Amino acid sequence: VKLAAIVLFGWAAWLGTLAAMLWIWSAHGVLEPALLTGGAVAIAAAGAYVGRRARPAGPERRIADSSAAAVVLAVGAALAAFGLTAGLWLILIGAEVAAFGLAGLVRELRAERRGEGRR
Amino acid sequence: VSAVAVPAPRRGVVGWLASTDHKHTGAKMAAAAFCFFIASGILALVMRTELAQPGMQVVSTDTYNQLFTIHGSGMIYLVLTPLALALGVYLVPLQIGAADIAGPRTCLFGFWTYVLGGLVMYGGFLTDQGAGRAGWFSYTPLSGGQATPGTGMDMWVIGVILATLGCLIVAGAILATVIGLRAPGMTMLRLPVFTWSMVATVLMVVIAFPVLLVLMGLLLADRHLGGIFDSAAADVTYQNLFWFYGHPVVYVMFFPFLGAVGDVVATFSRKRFFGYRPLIVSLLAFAGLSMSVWAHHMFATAKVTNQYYALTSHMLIVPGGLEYLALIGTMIGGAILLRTPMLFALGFMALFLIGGLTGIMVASPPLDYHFTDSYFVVAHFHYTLFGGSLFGAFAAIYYWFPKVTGVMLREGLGKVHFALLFVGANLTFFPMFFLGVDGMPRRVANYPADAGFTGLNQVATAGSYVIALAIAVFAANVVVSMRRRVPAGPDPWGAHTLEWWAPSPPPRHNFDSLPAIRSYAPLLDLREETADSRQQTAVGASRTGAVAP
Repeated sequence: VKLAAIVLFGWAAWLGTLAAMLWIWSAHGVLEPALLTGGAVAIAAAGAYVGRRARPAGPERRIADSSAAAVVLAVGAALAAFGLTAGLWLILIGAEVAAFGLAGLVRELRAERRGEGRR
Repeated sequence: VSAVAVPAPRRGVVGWLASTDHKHTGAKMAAAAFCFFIASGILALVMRTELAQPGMQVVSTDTYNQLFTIHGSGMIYLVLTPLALALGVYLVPLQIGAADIAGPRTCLFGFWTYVLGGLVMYGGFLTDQGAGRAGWFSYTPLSGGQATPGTGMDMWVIGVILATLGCLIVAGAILATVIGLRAPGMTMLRLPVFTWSMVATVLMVVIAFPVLLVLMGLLLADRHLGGIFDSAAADVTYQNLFWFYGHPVVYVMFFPFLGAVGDVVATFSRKRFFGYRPLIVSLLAFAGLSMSVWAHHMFATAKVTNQYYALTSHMLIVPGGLEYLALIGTMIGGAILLRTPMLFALGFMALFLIGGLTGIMVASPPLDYHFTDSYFVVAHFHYTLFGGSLFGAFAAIYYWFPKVTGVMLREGLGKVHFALLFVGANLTFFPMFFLGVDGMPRRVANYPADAGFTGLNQVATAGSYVIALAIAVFAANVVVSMRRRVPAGPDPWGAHTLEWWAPSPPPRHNFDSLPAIRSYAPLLDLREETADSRQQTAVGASRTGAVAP
């Protein structure tokens, strides 16, 4: 994990160097260098998170076999997005479907936790 | 890394649709990408048929605009990017000895979001005014509500948002897997070349894709509410934001296939990869540089820092050259086996070289002023994405198909497929260089009969049908191989990396046990150790006078 964080920091530093060159060179406003700097900062932040995070404890991980709720959530999100052009009625239907999906996900996660508690 | 036993998988359609197994998600994503590839390829065939003669024979100009928009958008948002990520979803956990991908539900959600986005985008053809028709980058003001009204264009924007969001989520899952789920002994410096290429890929995705999501949200708001992209300065802002995504995505569509080719070349050269660490450094340097070259697509606007982008674009030659050096160095002195995956890998190297060298030309502002928006650019990026990425994708498909299905693809049909695709790609795209230099603009449905473009366009159209034939041969190969099954076994190629340790196809939890991991090529290490111990046994036996086995 530490080496992974170093990779992320190294890559962020490389982006930062390229961004610094662009700050010096750019004559067309701040958008261009700001985009690249933003990318460097995001990766550095990810590196900091990874560096501070411990590796998952224990060698075993419970694996969910299937998740109908995740599919329902995706369908709901897509319907709601399509509703942005089709109309409010579809946004509402999509939101409802997505809510069902979210509820299903919560149910699946709870069932999994209960299963892990029993072991 | 071991997995906990879970209830028996749901059978039937629902079980398949909702399976969280990373192998199922990866395979579904690859299958969906292939379906979109066929659809987008058919659109290209219609365009090429229209362009075979001057004048309008097959479609109207408005339909032609829809065709090139959805062809380009389909190939980029729905085919090559998801296919590249699908390979990662399937293979990265296997290559690093993990039991599953990080966040399998999230990954499944990402897959479905992508598929539904693709359907929404293609659904635009069913609307009154047709599908999106402002090109795959949909510059403003052309893509605005006044210039391109209609639900189809809105559906294009929404489709891009959903597909991009899906790919972003999937990429995040891959990155989290590499960081958090590596097997004991699988350090970052022991990751296989393909996995490293996926790391470089997803780093670009997590920076670039959110920018496109925001941009498409703004475009949708502008189309309905106005006031966002109203000024000329805002149009340049749109281009800056778009290409901040649009250039890195070229490498997102390329790196995973480069990594796949790296694994293929090492396996079929019967050699350890040459220059593993320099290659990793060059991949990361390449990915960083590719984030900083986006505005070379905007040289002609004179509103960006041309010198900087020309410099960084030319700097790409260094890591690109290192990658070629590593691939060629791996082959030198190797016992090369010209099986179908290796043929596609060699095709990838040859054709991407043409794409790369012409990339140097368009990275130079004075040359780009002439080439921009001409068929030269079309030829360049098709040599990069078709010659490079697609040949790399087929190398990967022929190489890993036995792992995914447990069945070998037919070698003979594979070689016919390769030959047809190689000839077809060159027939189609090479004439476009000359058309572009002679001044034929891209995205036109018609051209003057006396412009001298007809002959070269006819050659390109003939080539596109050869490509279609090649794809038909591939489909036939898959059908024949799946019906008359030749079992592959766990490792039919004598490969180097960990996924070949698992049975074919791998079980739900991927591995029952893992070998010792001392390098990026644990299986090669194992074979070398076995050979060494046999040699020592033979030497010892000859000294004692015994007969060696």
